[in-house]
Amino acid sequence: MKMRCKKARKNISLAIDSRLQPTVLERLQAHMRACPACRNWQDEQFWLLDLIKTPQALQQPSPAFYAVLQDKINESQARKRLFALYPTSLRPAMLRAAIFLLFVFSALFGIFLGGRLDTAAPGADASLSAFSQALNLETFADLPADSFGAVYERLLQGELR
Amino acid sequence: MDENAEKADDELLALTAAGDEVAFCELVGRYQGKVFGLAYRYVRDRQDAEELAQEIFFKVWKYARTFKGRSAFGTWLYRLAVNTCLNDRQKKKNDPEPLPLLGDFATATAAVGTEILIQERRILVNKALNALPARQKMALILANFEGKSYEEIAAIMEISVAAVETLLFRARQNLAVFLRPLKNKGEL
Repeated sequence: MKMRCKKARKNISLAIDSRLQPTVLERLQAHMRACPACRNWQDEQFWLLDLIKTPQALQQPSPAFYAVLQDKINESQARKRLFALYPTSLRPAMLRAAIFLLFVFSALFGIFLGGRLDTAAPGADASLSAFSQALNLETFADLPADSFGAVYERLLQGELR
Repeated sequence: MDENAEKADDELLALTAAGDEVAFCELVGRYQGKVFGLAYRYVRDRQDAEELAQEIFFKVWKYARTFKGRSAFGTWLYRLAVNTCLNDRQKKKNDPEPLPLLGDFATATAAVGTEILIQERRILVNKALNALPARQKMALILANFEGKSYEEIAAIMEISVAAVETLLFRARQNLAVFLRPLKNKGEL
């Protein structure tokens, strides 16, 4: 059976790494004799292999290689020792304590903020209250008598209950 | 004579797992050339390769106790190295293109014509290799430069032998696609 080019090229790839069975190799060679495109492909593959070779001189790390590695290891061990100060068994308890404190501080801040913004609270800023009142009256003064604004004004003045 | 020099890799790794820095140093000495070579072929930049090789040995130190001896130490080390290289590529995927040109040009300007051509050729080849999908490139390196058999590559990359065959075929096919136009233009 004749070998197709796609299959032949897969087999060339295997042949480069000496992975081809002798019988398949014979069939590949027969195909190659009749197919200049696959012969070119094979030549190209050998040319590529040669092209991507790495210069031998670049295959050793610098003399400081181990020293830098040692520094990295020492640094990691120091970090590990620091974490060892907090035993693993205590970590969930510490997490719960942190969440609890977060809630407490949020609540305290909320109470503090609420006190500051509550204008009706005793001692609240009187000028703010006066400003709101003036604003309300001025805003609704020129509105038609049957408008929602005018009704709201009457409500503010205690006419509607 | 250093007593560690006669010990097998597995023994040295067991000592490393127990925190023996001398044993670890011996292990690094034995394999630093191979690991650096693999990293260099993968990233094709000396500085990056050295950093990658250090990361690989750092992982050897860190994960020494996880070695169960189910595979040979060499396979375990290569697996660690290959995964570190592949992850590194993943991490750097969004980084801008590395600039090997700076050093290369500095050397090139000082060199004569042929030297410049070699440098330029190397840059083009590096670009083509870096354009390959990470696993194809790694399979190619392991097969053609590390002298690993398909079975060994399969064990290192944790894939089947058939998958290794496919990866290698596709790598070669892609490399030819990238470099053929340059060859035809006479740039290589």
